[in-house]
Amino acid sequence: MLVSDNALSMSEIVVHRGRQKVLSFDSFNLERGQNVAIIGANGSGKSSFLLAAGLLIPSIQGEISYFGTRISRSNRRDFRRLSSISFQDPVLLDRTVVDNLKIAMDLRDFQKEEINKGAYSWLERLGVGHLAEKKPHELSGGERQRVSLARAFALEPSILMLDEPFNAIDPVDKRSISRDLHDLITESELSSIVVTHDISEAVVLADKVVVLIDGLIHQTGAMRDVFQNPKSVDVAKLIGHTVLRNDEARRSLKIPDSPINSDDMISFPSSAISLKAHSEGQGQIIRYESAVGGVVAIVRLGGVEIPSSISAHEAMSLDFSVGQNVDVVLDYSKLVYLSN
Amino acid sequence: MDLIRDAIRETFLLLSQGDSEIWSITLRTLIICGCSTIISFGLGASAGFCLAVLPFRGRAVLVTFANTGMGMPPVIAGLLVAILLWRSGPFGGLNLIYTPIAMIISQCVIAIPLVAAITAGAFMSLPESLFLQIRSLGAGRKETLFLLAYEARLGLMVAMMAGFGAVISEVGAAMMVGGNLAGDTRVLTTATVLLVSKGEFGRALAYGIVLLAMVFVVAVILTSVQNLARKRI
Amino acid sequence: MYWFFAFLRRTYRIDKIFYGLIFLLVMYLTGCSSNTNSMLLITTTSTENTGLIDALVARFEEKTDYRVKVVAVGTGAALKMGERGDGDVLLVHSPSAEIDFVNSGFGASRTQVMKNWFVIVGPAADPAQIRGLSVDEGLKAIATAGSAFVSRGDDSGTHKKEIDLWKIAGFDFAPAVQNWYTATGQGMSATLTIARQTQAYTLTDKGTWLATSIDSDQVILIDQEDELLNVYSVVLLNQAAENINHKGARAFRDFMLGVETQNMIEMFGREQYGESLFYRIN
Repeated sequence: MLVSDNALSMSEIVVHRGRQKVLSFDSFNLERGQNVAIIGANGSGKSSFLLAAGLLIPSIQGEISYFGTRISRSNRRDFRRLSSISFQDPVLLDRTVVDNLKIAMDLRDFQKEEINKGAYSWLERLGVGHLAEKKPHELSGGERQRVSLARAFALEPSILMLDEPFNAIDPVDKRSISRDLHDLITESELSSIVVTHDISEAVVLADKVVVLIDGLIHQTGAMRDVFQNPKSVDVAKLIGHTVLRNDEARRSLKIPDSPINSDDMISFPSSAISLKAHSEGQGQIIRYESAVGGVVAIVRLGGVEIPSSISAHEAMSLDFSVGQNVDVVLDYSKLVYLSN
Repeated sequence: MDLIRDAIRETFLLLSQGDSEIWSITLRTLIICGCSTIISFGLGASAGFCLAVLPFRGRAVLVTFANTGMGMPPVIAGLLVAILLWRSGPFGGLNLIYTPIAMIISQCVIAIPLVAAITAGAFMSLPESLFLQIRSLGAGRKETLFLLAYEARLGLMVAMMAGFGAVISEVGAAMMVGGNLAGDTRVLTTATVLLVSKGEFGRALAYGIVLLAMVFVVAVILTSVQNLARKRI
Repeated sequence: MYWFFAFLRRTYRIDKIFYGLIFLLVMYLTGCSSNTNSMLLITTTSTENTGLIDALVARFEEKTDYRVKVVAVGTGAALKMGERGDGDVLLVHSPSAEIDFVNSGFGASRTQVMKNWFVIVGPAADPAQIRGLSVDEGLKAIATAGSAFVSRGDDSGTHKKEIDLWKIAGFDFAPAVQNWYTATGQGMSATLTIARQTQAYTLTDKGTWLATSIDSDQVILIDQEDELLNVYSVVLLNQAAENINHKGARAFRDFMLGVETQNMIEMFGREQYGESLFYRIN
């Protein structure tokens, strides 16, 4: 393993808050140009992960290296300059928007001309150039987040770190910001870490994913691998799979025999379930829910509730209204067997 | 009623004729209280900042101390400082008793807990992630202090005004450590007390009016600061 | 505004500048008082309130090289400070307390320098009918009639005198409480005001009375009796104590006894009030 290829390398990390251990794992690597998403529920230690990666936890146990160089107390402040962090609930100073960027750049010792040029141009690129002289309390949540991102980029980091970037933003803003963000990340060849509890963000922004539950890494790998093959019930639930006990599932769906014994669980994404309107159908749509990834129709089948991904358009059509009977088909290729 | 009427008339006479004594006393009051305000703000705001921002054990205890200090009767502070500065006291050799320096010291003792408690509150009401964000941007200790102080600037102003208000209207400690010596340590409050004890109510009222005017100016500034704060919500 | 922050960042000496300025300002204030030949005279508030002390001290400073700071406190505090050597010389008017002070070794000597009289004042209507009586008779009359009487109640020279007078008349008021007798705990002027407002009798020194009387409803009822004599003394402190300006103290005492000063004392206030507030000692 060539350590010098990695933008960031963390090993044997333990983070305490007070007496409690909030984060503990053996190793994590971020290659150059790679984009990683850290997903987990609230309180799973995601924010601590980011703080650790950003070298903001001096009392941390374990080893961290940036581009092959081990971080120690003497070089920590210098290496912080290689990364820039944008926190959730964008933290802006109570000054004009452009001053926020200028001060940040000044703290990183940019030259005066660079500061003047860079601040305004990055605000433009994130679509908020017209707000340069406004104060943060005059901006909407989405505009504030764009400013925070503009600041993060203006610092010309090698590693970009984002904590729940779309936390308090409405869906319309979210789509445009995440598109812009994706473009900026890909064109600049930055390495990035995005912490989120929203799977769709992860999918858009990252190639590799790390699943964090209660301070421990349960699974890491390429986005596709983790989504198609969750290794445990917790991971499956986190990524939005439906998890059922084997016997429950057999009551409702036709499932090929599992290679392992019948105590096991099975999981599948809601997209693995397709519905066909049929007045004699075994299943019945009982309600709709909004879930990660969009709308799901909850179908009762054999006493079990099964979510099925459905487009908003279909949801509004007569064939799929609540109370409608449907046939339910499971795409076996997306089925995953889990041991408990 | 005669008394009040006479007193008011005397007040006007006094102020308009430019009794030089009242103005020299006022100037001295401003200098002494001004120094105390600046020093206690410098020390108190730093203490408040440390209390709010630095994590250390026993922080809650110190904060309680600061809050207690706020409620301490100023005359007690004066007594404590006097005991230390009297010839018979441990610092008697410095010959500071009955000097303006002694008054500044006792005024700082009164104002520092007040300023510290208010600034600690102001810093503590800043979002916690602000501190992290500033550090992540690369700010060192001094820069963090400046940036956070600017963010909390309204609270800091309130603290400074509060400190000034506390020292300028205080009389017990000023009397005890200053001695109300004519030409040296006689300030508006102690001069007023002397005039009252002599029965010269008219002049006492005049001094009181000057004092009130100063406090009024502070109140005006404070109110406009608060209004500024309200606008930005 | 950002440039201000950038500037501050680069001004490395900024906190040193701040403290330097404060230091300079403080030095300016310190420079106002120098220490060669300075003295601390401790006296009582009623004495200082008449203005006589300021006049005498001014003359003393003219004649000698000394610079005198005058601190006026209550008699109790003055003696306490004398005990601890927190001043150089005392000017008080509490003979029994002064004698104790010297006997216990805190004072080296006491020298009488001037005198005046206390007077008993009260409402013009004089409900207890004490006008013209002797002190003894007058106080007895007040007590018998249960007429309102206010006392300083603050261990001052005046208060101690008042307690002594009551004792001689046969009443022991130090701990006792009667409902016609109230203690104000305040200075002479405030006590007179309270007496005036509540139509009560009280004991006051002539000096304060002359300087503050404004209401014809409050009049002198008993005056010029021997028991009402009020003697002021200069008390020198324990010679063995080191940081006391004994030389200056002695100089002040001698000054007070001088012919010119004694004349000054008697002339003080004559024009303004029509009579002397203080009299020479001999």
